[in-house]
Amino acid sequence: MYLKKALNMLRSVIKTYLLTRAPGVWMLRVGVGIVLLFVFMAILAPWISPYDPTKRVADPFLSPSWEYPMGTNRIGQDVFSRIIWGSRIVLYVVFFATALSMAIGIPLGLISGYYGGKLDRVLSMVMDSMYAFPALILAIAIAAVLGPSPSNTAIAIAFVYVPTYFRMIRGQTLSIKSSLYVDAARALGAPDNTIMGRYILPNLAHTVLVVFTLSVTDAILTEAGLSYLGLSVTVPTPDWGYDLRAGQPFLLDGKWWLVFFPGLMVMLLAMGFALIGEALSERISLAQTR
Amino acid sequence: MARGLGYYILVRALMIIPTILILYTIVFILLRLLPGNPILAVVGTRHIPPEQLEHLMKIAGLDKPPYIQYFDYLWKVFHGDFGVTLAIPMGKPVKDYIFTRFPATLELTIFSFIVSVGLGLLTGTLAAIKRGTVIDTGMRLYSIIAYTLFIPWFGLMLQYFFGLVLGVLPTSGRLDPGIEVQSITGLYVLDSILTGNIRALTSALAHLVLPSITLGIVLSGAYTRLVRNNLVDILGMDFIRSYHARGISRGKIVWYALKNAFIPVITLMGLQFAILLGGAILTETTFSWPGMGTFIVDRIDYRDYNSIQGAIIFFAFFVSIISLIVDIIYALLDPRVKY
Amino acid sequence: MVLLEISNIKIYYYTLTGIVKAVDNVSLTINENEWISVVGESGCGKSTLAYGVIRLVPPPGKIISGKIVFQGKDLLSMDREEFRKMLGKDIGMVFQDPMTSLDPLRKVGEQLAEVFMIHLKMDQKEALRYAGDLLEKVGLTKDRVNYYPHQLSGGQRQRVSIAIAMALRPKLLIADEPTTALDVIVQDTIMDLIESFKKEGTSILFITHDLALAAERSDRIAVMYAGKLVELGNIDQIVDNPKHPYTIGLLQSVPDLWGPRKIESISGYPPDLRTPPSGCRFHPRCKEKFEPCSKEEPPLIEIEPGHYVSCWLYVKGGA
Repeated sequence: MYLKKALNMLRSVIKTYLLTRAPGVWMLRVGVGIVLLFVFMAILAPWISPYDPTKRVADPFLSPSWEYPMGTNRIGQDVFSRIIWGSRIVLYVVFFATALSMAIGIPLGLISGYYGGKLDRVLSMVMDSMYAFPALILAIAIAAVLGPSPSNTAIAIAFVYVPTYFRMIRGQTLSIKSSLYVDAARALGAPDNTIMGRYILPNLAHTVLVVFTLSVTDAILTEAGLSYLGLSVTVPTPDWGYDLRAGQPFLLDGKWWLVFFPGLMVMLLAMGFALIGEALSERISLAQTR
Repeated sequence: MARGLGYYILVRALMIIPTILILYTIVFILLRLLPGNPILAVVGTRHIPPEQLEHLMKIAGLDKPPYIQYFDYLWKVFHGDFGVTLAIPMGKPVKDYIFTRFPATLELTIFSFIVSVGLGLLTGTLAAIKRGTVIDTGMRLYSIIAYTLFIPWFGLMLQYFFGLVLGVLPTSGRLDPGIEVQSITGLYVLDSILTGNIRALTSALAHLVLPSITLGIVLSGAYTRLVRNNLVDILGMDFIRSYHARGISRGKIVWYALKNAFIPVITLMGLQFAILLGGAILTETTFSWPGMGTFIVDRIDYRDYNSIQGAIIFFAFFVSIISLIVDIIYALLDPRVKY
Repeated sequence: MVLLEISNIKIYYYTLTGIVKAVDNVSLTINENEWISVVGESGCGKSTLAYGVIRLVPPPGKIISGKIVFQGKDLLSMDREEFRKMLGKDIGMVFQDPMTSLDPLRKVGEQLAEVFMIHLKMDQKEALRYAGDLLEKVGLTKDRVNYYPHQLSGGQRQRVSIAIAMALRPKLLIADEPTTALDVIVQDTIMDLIESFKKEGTSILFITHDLALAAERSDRIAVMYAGKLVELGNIDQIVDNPKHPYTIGLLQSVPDLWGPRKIESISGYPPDLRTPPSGCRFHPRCKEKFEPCSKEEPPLIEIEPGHYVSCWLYVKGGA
């Protein structure tokens, strides 16, 4: 039943945002296009990847050609195939991490904002401290402790972004909590979780969407960063950040393709989400000023 | 009632303490309360005599129960002792590393800060003034592109072009090999100015160009949005129209508007500084810059928890100090803040 | 002696959803030493008209056509620098919201002194002295010179704004709803202040939605509706002998202090200016509407000397 509601909400979001004719919408379309491109790349990897990314298929350090569009790396693996398969890791980590962050941050923010009091004060202080601290450093610490694996990376990233969701949800909850219609509902005797579920939560949907896209953007860059530092995947799993690091020593020898393509992918995927986020927040602010 | 600037600063300074404590606790819990013995993790399967193991654990303070370690370390930090390294090279005071490495990070941070704020102000102001036009959209695109650049990628691409293809700028380290500078502050640019060492000055500056631009551009993306949105808000206010009606020239009006817009931007600059430090880690690794970032990364490979912990706490402390300074500057700039 | 002549002004806003015809072919004359109020509902274009005079129509708005002549000079075609020098010196403007019409970062005296320094090339010391005197003149004490705007009340801030606008004794003061954000008692003192300047020779162009307020002090009143001028006349003509149904409606919606009278409101809402009604823009809400009202826009007729109305009721067919 909730699934249907969510689907309906998604449908209305798509209609409101994607299928209109406002001038800023091209950003949204390009962003969604890019994201979908990568999602399909990840899903269809086994079928569209020309070679096995973990196997040596040719001489090492071949520059890009028709046979190997992005060249080969130090081991002789096809970079293009590694890029395609690498999208799986990135998307997996990022979505897992974001889902976890939201699952923890949103309810906590809702409860904290709604009930207030000591719980709220303590939680806020903890979350603010974490929020003010550089995400990457904290993520590094956590990932270092847990050991290198994509799932641990996801946990590390999730941990770091919980405060973002917490703060946003808490702030919105606070402002909605004091609106008249919530008072009215309470006067009619609605229990707390009904108020939270039926009145407050649905109104947060739009803001959550914007924060979601922006934090996913960040998470992509953080994942790439952690992977670059060797804290995510292990050989021979293909991952963009890690591959970039592997290719770094050979850059100044002229073998630019080892670094260029992985990094470009990171940026494009991040940009896709960033464009969506920018377009959405522009829409929301426009809607508010009218 | 205004109780004075001193009181204001004092209150703000005291609020740093809980923040740092919380972060310390989180880091401590993460790093210490792990199954297993970190010393063993480092030593691996090599057989060492039990007395040596005990000795190592004693140095690391690991022979005591966790809660004693917690306060022990806290007490040490209070006295400026950040513990000792747990891995190669073993037993060295972390403090020494912080002392040599931190200025490198600081110098990089300062120059990147200048680049990012400068670019951010420029692009943000342009976007705000030419709001709704192609220039505005262009600036917002710039902001997105800058923000989503992957630092290692961008840094390496710059190295490729300016280091390899054009060959005009150095790509790693802080100075050319063979050049030395007397280390007074640890900030090579400052030190070379203070000692009149022109060769070192040019070398230090040349080495700062690529890393600062890399980090600076990436971070400027966030500033663009900030400056633009704040400036747009300000430009819509009545006093701007009032200025126009008084016959004040357009240029002056923009200047007054910027001063107003600058204030909320400053508060967020304090926050930005924390992000700056985060980005510095990746930048340092990309450019082999001998700062705190590369220090932490190196220590991670060795699972040297003491060093990582010490470095992070130092970071936390520094970030808090910066926030405090920003708060004070904000209070001084905005006449509406009461103290 | 005509001070300001606005002829056939059209100001449109080119928005994403359509062209908003905010001011559509309005003509108005302001004489020396007179108080004229422009009255109308929110969104009728009165503020836009005022902004047009000082060439500050915000994008996406543009002055499409028409002329504005001030003391014989064409304001719209004037070189920008020359016009800027006139602003503040010959024309002054006061805005609605006292909370945001002064720069919050600068002291009040400084902002006041700036006007002297820019236009009269005074040095700062002298300008600050003048500023202090001027503050006294508008009813504040000299020490307020060192105050920041947030340290003053709304009424005090509005006085400062008026002082700034009047600093160089402009011939024309445009006041865009200067009292709307203030309580009634303060409102009265501000109106007194403005009137005192009028007595010293300045003309007042007073924008307001409050017809009663306008009727207090104006010499003449212009009524605007949906971007059009619907009635214009001197105070007696408008108050005692209103002709346009809209003006009559406005007057009837104000309670009468001297005896019971039924208060009637005007039904309906102001139209969307992107798609204004055909013909007379008021016809959907008008009780007196008849055949030609929805077909063609009524011309502006002078039904008695100085009293103009734009309504088909008064157009004699043929004669």
